[in-house]
Amino acid sequence: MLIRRFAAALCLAAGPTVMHALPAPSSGPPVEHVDRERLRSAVLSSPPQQTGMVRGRVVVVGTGAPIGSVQLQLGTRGAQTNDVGAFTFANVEAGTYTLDVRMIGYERVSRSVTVTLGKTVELTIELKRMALSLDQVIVTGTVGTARRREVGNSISQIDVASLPEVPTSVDNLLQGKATGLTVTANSGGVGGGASIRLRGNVSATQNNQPLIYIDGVRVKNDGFPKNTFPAGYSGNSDNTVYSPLNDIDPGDIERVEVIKGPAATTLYGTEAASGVIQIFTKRGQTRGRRWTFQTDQSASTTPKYGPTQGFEGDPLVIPDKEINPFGTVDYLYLDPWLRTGYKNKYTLALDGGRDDVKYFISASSSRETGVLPLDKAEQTSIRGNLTVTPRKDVTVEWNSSFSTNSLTKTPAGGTAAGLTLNASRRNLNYFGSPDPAQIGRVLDFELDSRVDHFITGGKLEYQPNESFTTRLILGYDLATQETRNYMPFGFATVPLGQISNGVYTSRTSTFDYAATYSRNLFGKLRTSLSAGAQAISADQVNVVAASRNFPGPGEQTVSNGAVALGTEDRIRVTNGGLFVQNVFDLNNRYFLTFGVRFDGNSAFGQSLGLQSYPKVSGSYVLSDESFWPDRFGTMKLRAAYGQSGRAPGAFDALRTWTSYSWGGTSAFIPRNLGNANLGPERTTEVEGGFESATFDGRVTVDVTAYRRQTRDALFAVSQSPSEGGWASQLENVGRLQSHGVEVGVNATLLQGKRLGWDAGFTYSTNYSEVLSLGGAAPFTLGNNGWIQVGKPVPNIQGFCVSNPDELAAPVRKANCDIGPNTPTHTIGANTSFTLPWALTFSTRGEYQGGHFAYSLLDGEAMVRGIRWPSCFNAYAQLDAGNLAAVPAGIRGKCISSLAIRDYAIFPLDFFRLRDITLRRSFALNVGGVTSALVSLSGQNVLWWKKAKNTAIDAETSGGFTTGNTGMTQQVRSVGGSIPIPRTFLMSVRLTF
Amino acid sequence: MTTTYTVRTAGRLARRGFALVAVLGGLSGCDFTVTNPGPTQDAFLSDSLSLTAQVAGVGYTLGDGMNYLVLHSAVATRELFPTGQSGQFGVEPRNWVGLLVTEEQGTPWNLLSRARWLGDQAVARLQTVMGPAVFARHPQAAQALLWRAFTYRVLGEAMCVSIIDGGPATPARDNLVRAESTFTAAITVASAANNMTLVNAAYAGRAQVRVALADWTGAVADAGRVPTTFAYKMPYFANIDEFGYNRTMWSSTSQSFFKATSAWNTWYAQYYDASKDPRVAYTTTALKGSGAFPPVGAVNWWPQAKYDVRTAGVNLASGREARLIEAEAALRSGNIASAMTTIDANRASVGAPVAARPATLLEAWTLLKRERGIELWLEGRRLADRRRWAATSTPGALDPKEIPGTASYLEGQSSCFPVSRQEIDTNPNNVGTP
Repeated sequence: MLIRRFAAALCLAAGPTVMHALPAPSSGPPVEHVDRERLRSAVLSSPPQQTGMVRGRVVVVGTGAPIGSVQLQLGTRGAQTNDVGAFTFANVEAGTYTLDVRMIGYERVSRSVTVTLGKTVELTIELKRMALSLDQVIVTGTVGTARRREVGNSISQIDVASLPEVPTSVDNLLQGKATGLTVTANSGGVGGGASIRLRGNVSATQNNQPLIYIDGVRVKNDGFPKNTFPAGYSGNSDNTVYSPLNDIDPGDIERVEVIKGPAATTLYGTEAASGVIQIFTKRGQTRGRRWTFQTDQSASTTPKYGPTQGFEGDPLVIPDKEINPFGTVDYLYLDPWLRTGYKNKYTLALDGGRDDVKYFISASSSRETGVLPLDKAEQTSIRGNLTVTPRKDVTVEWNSSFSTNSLTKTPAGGTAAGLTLNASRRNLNYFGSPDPAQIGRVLDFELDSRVDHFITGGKLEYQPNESFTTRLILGYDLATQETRNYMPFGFATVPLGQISNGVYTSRTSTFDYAATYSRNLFGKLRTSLSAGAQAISADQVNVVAASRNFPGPGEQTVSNGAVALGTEDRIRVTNGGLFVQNVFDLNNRYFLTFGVRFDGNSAFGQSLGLQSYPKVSGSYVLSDESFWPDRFGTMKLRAAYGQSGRAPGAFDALRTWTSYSWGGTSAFIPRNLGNANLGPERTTEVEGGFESATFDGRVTVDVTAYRRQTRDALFAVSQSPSEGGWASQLENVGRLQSHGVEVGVNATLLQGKRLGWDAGFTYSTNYSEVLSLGGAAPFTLGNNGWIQVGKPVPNIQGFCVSNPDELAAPVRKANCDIGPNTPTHTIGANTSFTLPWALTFSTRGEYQGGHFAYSLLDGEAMVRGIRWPSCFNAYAQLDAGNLAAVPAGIRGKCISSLAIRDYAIFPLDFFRLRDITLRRSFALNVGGVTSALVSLSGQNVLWWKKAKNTAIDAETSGGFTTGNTGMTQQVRSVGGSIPIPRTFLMSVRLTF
Repeated sequence: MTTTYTVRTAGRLARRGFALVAVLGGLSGCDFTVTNPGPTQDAFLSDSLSLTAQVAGVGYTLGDGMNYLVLHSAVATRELFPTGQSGQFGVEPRNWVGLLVTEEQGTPWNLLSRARWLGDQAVARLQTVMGPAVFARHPQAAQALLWRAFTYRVLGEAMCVSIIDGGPATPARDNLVRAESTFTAAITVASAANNMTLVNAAYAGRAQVRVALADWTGAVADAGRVPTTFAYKMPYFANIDEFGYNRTMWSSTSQSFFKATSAWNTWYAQYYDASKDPRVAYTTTALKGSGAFPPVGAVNWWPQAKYDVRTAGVNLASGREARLIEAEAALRSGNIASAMTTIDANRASVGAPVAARPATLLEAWTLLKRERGIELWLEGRRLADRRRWAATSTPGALDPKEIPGTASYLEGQSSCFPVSRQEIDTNPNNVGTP
């Protein structure tokens, strides 16, 4: 029986042809097709003959491929399709209803449905792909929502359900999905957070990570403190930071809105210049209950990453005498420790409810081992939300999530206790030996952390009539991290041992009130006035206890060290603001929006009052004009102007001193010079573009050009050492500019009965320039990144060899401009094929280029006389004493006494095949399971890089001298990290 | 009708505008002030209870700067030989071949300049807070003056130029002049405070400065007030921060993981092998250094043994140096016998063998130069000695291992530390090293 059901289910999944072939039910559904919902309803509800049923499938027009997660609204009742596109409305009272079918990326469909007592209405709804839908609803910072046609700026929406791939993290979900959005993973190890940049860097000195909102609640957007010892060299770590985005299960996300620049983020206020990412989690859609179980099983391996060319550009030849018995150049001698990493993840979700109460609950658990020997991550998370509509005009939503994570990391950074560093240096490492038994002693270094993250928030929305809407959001984000950094007694680099234990807490409170009043003014002129107030309070406490010099072997705690240190940092920043915005809508075709935001912030200097940020934008739906030929499809023109800001740090305005312990006495050292006039950066952005859909919606084009300028840019103005050596003081002195274009094209190339082919292409550019330093001297942000007039933000600069091709001694030249540190152009391409048997095959790749960075492993090897693979070709001449045959540029890199670290700056251009996925959906009727979706994916399986004479991966990072690294690093440098691994994933999702 | 509508609309707009203004007014009245604990705000430094920490800040920063200066000048003058380890607790490549260049040597300038500024600030603030009468006899005032004076002395001896508070570059000698007057003030206040340790240190320091200023009469007079057994050290501490350790020791010790320097191929090792003079002790190991120095390859790692613990202090001034000042002054007047007597006494006090008798004044100068090298080994003074001897064309040979050539692998030899890149970039007076 089971086999028969399974076979029948497979037939069902075979496509719309079969579905169409089903006889229209005339007296109730056939027994084989009745589902649990209906059976349950039949038992629990009123007699079945008083109700009817509506069920069916939603498919893509043409190919008939099923569409999952489509939202359907039948009267007041909601439903959602499963992975084979099936939906059911059971126990529907007789009558005529409007069935509204919505899915981002598809044309919205409404149709009338008449339900007859005791009958089942069987429907096949075909949706047409419509990547551009002007009536698509988006959230813009005002109360409620806006239709895309009204919005004058570029906003990207990522609908998780429509993705052909299986996102494994939020970072992975965002990567390469929108123009102007770059997501850089930073680490090949487990648990590292990615840098997210929208249109490149907005600020030279402040955090460029966009603000993150989850269901309207502001959450921590920057990285957790690095797990490092609080004194001495901060590189004693794995040099990654954990991202709070890691705590969000991508499977819980319904959609993401990416709001890129100040022209769009004005209403978010002082801290939104780097853009805003709004994450909306799944909500209860289904009447009754629907369970979803998903398991993701993946394996990861490290791609070959060693240099394949010599510094002179020839293919690398490895002479016998350079062969290391313990490892290969392919993996920079790390072979003995690399392994296959595995991840097992299980998720169970339930959504359901009734007309006035809907809920969604999900829980997931995952275990992961990384490719490095100690890397391990475990995560358990739970999320739930409740939507209650006690009255027709009132909606209350409550969302909560909790995630707990434990991480164990391998010491793999640029440190004497680092595995990658010591392995790559072989006999000249800190053990004086390439023997894995010696190098492996660093694995006694324990790096553990635990992160708990709780987010809760509620939204009350009151809409007494069509004209007036008001809503209140209250939110609270609590993120804690406990880190343990432990070198036991007898450890190689610290023989007496050391330990630190840090507890970090971040609390972010959100209060957000807004109201909108809309009315017709004259004729077809409609106005929509919004106003609101917002307050954000962010508290961060970081307490670290540390000690050194244990009495002897054994498991130690901080209490056991002979010399102890405690540090405590507390920072609280409050921001309050209000906004007013008015949208004029003429004829549903011309839209003009004016708005202004006023902000106060505790980090502003004392003499600074409220700051105001204006905005104005317009959109014109050209295709609604009568003169617009239908064959030209849909066309919307838009333009926007807006300002936003970026606040300085909590202590930046104050003149402060640090105290150090000096022989038991406190010693004051200058810390921050202070500036009573310190205010926010003010970024003004102008953008314009168009969105069009032609060829019956099969080809959509979205083009945006933007130019933005940051005035009062916060520059860390270096202070003269002879005037006290204060740390660089932030001053509002600079002016920055950036500009670029963003082009997104999506096309349905083939839409046959059994074969469909879609393709997408994105192209983004970002060119930045320092316009003025306000009289300040050029200054460095570290890692060879400089802020200089007329140069990119930041500009990679350093020494270079001025006569690289001469057969002579290298001549050092100072202040050589190398290029920008952030990509100037990003290209994305994706394609997917809809195949017979409900198969889908998709690929997606991304290229980033035009940027440069310093490589720590190469640079340090150059100046330490380490026999470096990229010099193997040159050593043939150098070892033979034939110096005269070696060009100056190679001498500078391969003869350590002539070397300087700056020679290890490389282009970062790379391409990665981000994803390749084959998936199939199955309709089932086995043990209550109604559908299954099976995906086989490869992520980052193909990697090309321009700089073949280095081992670096442009997507990893290493900033070893600062507390944070990676995601919040101002200037990207590439350190001892291993490259991003290749991941092979199998995912199975069952709906029942 | 139109008029009525307009009036109503205007009225509504006025009300909305009023409401907006009211809300804005309310918001502007919001207190966004947040007091975050942690870094000490400047105002608190004028509290009399904060003065001790300010004085300590000068000493801490001077010690921090000296830590780099001692190590890097030791390699440049071949008090120690580089092993090729750069980076953390290492020595940079141009330093290996004897050069002290801007791109590698920013830290000594930055830290010592900060110490100088802090010294000036601390003395000024102590004078203001204490009042002239208390300041004139307060031990903390004497200590502040002493740290300040030694900072000027270190800057004057080791840096190529002098820059005060973002001003123009002037000859390094200017800092020596400031050091002399500050030592004089320190002597006065320390004497009033009856603190003989500080008094002796100030006299010993002033003697050093007067040598550098070629005031030999004054130098001998000051040196004569310093007991032979006296030593005033810059302390280092085994706190939890390894940057507070004696850097010369920690950069090359079996207690840590760093092997950045070696006594191998130095004249001092050669001398120690023959004499076992404890002032230049080192140990041999079968290990190699933590890098590779290209002309040599992997360097034999023979760690120095003068500083054998992390907390080993570095002499700022000592009675034995004072005796050598007297000996050098004697040689300047051609009195070899007097100079040798003084040197012998010094040697005897540390258990070193008696030096060979010089037959000529030239030999005596050679011996004295080596004797100062031995006595002040790894104290950051060799650079200054060689600079002043070169300036006055003082006779006496240096060993081939100390000067550029095939024996030392030195490509050149800087005589002073440059102005840092940060100072060059932020100082409007074009202060790049001449």
